[in-house]
Order: sequence, then C-alpha cells, then structure tokens
Amino acid sequence: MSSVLYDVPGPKARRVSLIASIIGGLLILGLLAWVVMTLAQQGIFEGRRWQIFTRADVWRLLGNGLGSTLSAAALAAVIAFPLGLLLCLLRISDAAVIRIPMRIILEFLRGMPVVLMMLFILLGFGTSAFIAVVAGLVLYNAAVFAEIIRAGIQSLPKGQREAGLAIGLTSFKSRMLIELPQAIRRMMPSLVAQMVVLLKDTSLGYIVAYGELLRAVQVMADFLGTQYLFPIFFVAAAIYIAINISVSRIAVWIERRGSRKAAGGVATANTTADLQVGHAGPV
Amino acid sequence: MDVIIENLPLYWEGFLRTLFLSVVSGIFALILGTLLAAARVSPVAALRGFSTVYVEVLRNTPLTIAFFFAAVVLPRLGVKFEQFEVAAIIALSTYTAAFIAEAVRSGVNSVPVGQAEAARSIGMKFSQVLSLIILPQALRTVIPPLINILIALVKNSSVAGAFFVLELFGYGRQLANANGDAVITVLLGTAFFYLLLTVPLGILANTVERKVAIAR
Amino acid sequence: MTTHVPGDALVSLNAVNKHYGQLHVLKDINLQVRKGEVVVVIGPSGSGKSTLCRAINRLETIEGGTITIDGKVLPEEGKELAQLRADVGMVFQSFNLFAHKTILENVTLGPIKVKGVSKTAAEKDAMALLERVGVGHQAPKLPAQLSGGQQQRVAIARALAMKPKVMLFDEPTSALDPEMINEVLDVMVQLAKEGMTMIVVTHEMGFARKAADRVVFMADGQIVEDATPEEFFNNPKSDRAKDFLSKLLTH
Repeated sequence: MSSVLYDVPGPKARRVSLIASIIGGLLILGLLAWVVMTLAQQGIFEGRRWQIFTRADVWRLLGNGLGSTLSAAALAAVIAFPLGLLLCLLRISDAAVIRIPMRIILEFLRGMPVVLMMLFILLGFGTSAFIAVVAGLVLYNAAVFAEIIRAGIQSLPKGQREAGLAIGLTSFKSRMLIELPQAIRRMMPSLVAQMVVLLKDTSLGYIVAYGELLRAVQVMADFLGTQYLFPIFFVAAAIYIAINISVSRIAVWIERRGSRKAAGGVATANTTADLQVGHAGPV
Repeated sequence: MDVIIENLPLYWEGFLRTLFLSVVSGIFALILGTLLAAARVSPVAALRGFSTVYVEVLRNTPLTIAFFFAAVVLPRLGVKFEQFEVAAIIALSTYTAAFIAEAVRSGVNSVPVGQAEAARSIGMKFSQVLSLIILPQALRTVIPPLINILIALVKNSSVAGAFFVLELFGYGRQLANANGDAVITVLLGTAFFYLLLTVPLGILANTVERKVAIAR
Repeated sequence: MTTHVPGDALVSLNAVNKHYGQLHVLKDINLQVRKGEVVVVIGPSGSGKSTLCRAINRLETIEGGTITIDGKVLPEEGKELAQLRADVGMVFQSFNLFAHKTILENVTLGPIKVKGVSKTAAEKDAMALLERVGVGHQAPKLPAQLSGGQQQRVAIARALAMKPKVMLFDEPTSALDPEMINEVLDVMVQLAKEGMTMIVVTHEMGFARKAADRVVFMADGQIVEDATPEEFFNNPKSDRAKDFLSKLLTH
C-alpha cells in the first residue's frame, strides 16, 4: 500500500528509518531530560512546592476558575448558536437592503479580535467582566456560525431549494424547513469545532479581569507566593488542555456518526474549522 | 472622532507594531509549521510521534496560557528576555505553527494517492514526485487555509497587549482608559486598524480560493 | 542469485505470495510472460488480479517469491526501482493524469525529467503519440477538460512515451462510461498488434478474445487456469472458471 508521498520502504530504507527513529527518540528524551534537570535545579520538584495541592482551598479556587470558564462558555454557546442562525438568515436574505449591511456587520464582527470586543463591551457599556466575556464571545461566534451555516447552505444541491419553492413554500419556509436543517447537519463537525474555539477563547477573559481559570492562577500565585507559580500554572494548563482535548474528541465522534447519516456527507471537523471562507480562524 | 484624530500617531504606531509582531511570528510559524508537517508524514517514528504530540497539545491550549507561560512563567524560571516582544513572538509562533502544521498536512494528504503512484510508475524519484507533482497541487489546497490562519494570527497578536507589549490593543486599552467619555469611539478606532489588516487578507483568501481550485 | 527464468520470459513471477493482514491475497503465483505476448488476467472481484498487476512495478509489495523483469529481479527501493519503473508502463483505472499539467506536459514530463530527453524532442514524440491515440488536438488542454475516454488514451500515451518494455493495464476501462470503452480498447488492440508486451487486468471479454495470446483466470488469490482464449472460452477446464463464465455469458 503506497502512501501519498513514498513507497513502502524497502530493507535499506527501513534500516535508515529505524536508526533515525532511535537517534530522534534519544534526542527528544535528552531534551526532556535537560528541561527536567533545569527545572529541578530551580527547585520546582521540591515537595513543599507541590504541597499546596493538599489544601482544599487551592482546589476550590481552581474549581471556581474552571467553573467560571465553563459557565461563560456554555452560556455564550447557547446564545451564539441561535443568534448565528438568525444572522445567517439575514445574510442570505433575498432583499439586498438587508443582505448588504448584514455582510458588512459580519465582516466587522469577524475581523476584529475577540478580546477587543470584550473590552469594548466592558468599558463602553460598563458591564461586569462576566457579561463582557459572554457578550464578546457571543458576537464573534455568532458571526462565525452564520458563515459556517451559510457555507453549508451553499453546499447543498440547488435542487433542494428549488423543490421546496416548487411545492409552494415561501423563501423563508424553504430556508427553515428544508435548507437550514440539512445545512446544520452537514456542518455539524465544523460547528462543534468552533465550539471548542469558543471554549478556548473564554481564557481571553483573563485580559478583562474575568475570574476564569488563568486568573485564578494569577491570584493564587500573588497570594500564596511566586514559588508556587509554576506548580499551579502547570496544573491549570493541564486542566485546560485536557478539557479542550475531550471536547475535540467529542467533535470527532460526532463527525463519525454524522457522516453515516447526513445526505451528501459531512464536512470534516479539522479542516473546515480552520478553512472557513473569509476570516474565521482559530484563536 | 476628535479623539481618534488627536491620537492618530499612537494608533499608527500600534498598527505598525501589530504588523511587526504578526509578520515576524508568521514567518517563524510557517517555518516551524512546515517542519512539523514534514515530521508528521516522515517514515521516522520518533519524529512522527513528537510532531503529533506537539500539534495536539498546542492546538488545544488557549493562547492566553501560552502567553502566560512565555511572559510570566519563563522569567520566573530564569529565562530572561531583553524585551517582552520576544516572549510574545515565541508564544505566537509556537502556537500558530501547530495550526499551520495541520493545514500543510491536510494539503499534502488532499492530493489523490493516484497522482504519486502515476508519478512513481514513470520512474520519478521521491524528490521529483514531491517537487513536480505533490507540492504544486498541495500548495493550491493549502494556501486559502494558510491565509485564514494568518488572519487569526493578526487578531491573536492582540493578546500580547495584555502581556507587557505595546501594540494596537494595548494602546487601544490605554486610550480607552484615558478617555472615559469617548470609549466607544476610541475602541472603534482600534477596531478599524485591525480591520485594515484582516479584511484585505480575507478578500485575498477568497480570491485565491477561487483561482486555484483545480478542477478534478 | 540464480532464478529460474524459462525461455525468453520478459516478466516472470515465481511462487509469489502476499498477505493483507490475515487475508492471503496472492497464493503461490507462477506466471511467465514472453516478449510480445498479450496476457489478459480475468476473475471475480477480490481474486487478487489488481494486486498482481500492481506488484509487478512494486506499487504493492510481496512477501514471498520473486518477480523478475527482463532478467533483473524487481528492486525494492531506490534508484534501481525508479529505473525499472521507467521501463514498465502502467495504465490505471482512474487514469491519474497530473491534474495541474496540460495534456502535452503530462506526456513529456517523464521523458524530460526521468530520461533526460530535450524538451523539443520530447514534445515531438509526445505529439506523435497523442495523434496515434487520437487526442492530438487536445494537447494544450488540462485533464479535467477531457472526457474519461480521452483521459485514459492520454494516460496510455504517457506510459508509451517512456518507451517501456512491457505495459501493465489495471482495469483500464472499468471507470469509463460504456460509450467510451471502445475508443480505449481500440488503442489497446492496435498496441497489441504492434507487438507490445501487455499484461491487462480487465472485465472486457471481447478484448480478451480479440487481442490476447493467453487468458489467465484468477480466483481467491490463485491462478486457476492459464490457456489460449479459444481454449478458455470454449472449453474451460476448472469448475470455478465454468461457473464464472456462465454467470458472465448470460448477459
């Protein structure tokens, strides 16, 4: 079985590959060893540094931070999706007087950094950090969802809409009953992947002083002493990464389920989320 | 409006610094990302494993964490930077490289295996198969998502402003705090300068996407 | 290493074996093809005929036995393999024309880059080949602009441009619409008449009757029968072959 790039390796190539593998493996292990030793020199591995994890209040603070992250993300996701649907409908409206301004608005929302939007809302409307974070996430992600769903509708066979109109449905009804459901099912992996991006972006709340996980780290390091900075940071980062990976895995699982059901197949999560037409990209 | 006009030099400086951060990080990210992609598809198991782990971890790390690590944790561990821009560039490059690696790998895998088989069947060497057949076709698939990743990079550079770097977001925040009565105007001005970069790039991505689609 | 190469066999497979995991896809294959012979390999799906064809230019690897081409054992890698492949032409079921190159470039790429032929000489030969297969006027176009039948004929020209000793065809017409099959088969029949050594995996019995010197029937990874077309179609010896033919001919 040849792969895209090269033939199945012959004996000489296999030997070279094995040697390179061993050397590469040793180099990487060496690098890791060096990192571990340097850290050890700094006393990172001293027991007392990690003893703070026996304290319940440390875990409580981490838990709160995590909870704040997840609740902001969940709320934003729940609002952003229907809003995205609405924006999408407006964006593909038959009336140019709605469509064109909508396009400009969406370009605007997607073209500026999410953290700027959060700051905007925080300072411009004097809201709490929580509202600023959620609203910023909502606005940005609704715009991205709108584009994803729009791409989904455009990828449908034209005959779907034509058939809908032919049996007497209005344009709106055709969209709602025929096109949107299919587009959403088709783009589900993309949408879920964007949810993961949304979850990651909650950490931007750190910048507007929202009490999410990273801020919890900062607070604890300030309060308990900077010698605990690395251990606390390490654990928080691990939690963040673990949660994101889990949600990503769920996205892949949904994609696998979806491709068996959806008519005409389903876009793959990895490529489409990063490849969205226009601006949408991972933060 | 006056606020914007008065502070135009500041906006402009922020814009240039953001541009600088984006371009430099972008170049490093492209190099690192391509190397990671090559490692990911190489026959050497150790390289493949390392690259896969790197990409998986960084794609699932929030950028703020990466910045925090580079700008706050590293100095605490004894790694000193001349300027915090260096930390910012490290964070942005290593982060973005993971996404570029995935995009490049997807691009290479999107070339139908039959193309390489046909090329090998007429006696081409690996280097010829790669340079004449695979890469030209892979590039066409890879450029639109690469541009999207670069757009994201420009927007992501704003995080640097929260980690001791003076750039557009940082200046915007400063100005907003200094002009409490014209916050919205100030921030709109900031947004404008970001759009100055992201909108043309978006148009470029769309144009390139249409032009290089190879009919199959 | 001495391998038994009977007579003047151009392509020789001896005791070739291959597994895909648990599946034994090639079981003890022995096949000799002499220069100028046209051997058609037929059989039901999953019989291993495509794998056999692809093993001859090492797109598929084998675990046991040897494959010899023109006296040389099939190299496993490197420059030798590339050089051997330059002498073995392959036509794929899915054409596999280089999508980003014009028809002319598709045919000249091999000679220029692999054999070092000059661009003018390569183009002259290429145009002659394209005329010969009937698509000369399509030279400046891109593959996607051609029909399936035209693309496959270009693929044949591309393989011929390397002046191969033997041509392998892996189900060349299976991906074509019915009305285009004949234009490709005509080219292949002509090629056979001109004395090219050909190993053709196909379902097209008409071609086998018209142009084959031998028909090799495969089932479940084994060669079940190896006979002339007349012998095979009129008087199949094995039950498996009888069964296969009866299913076909009831159409």
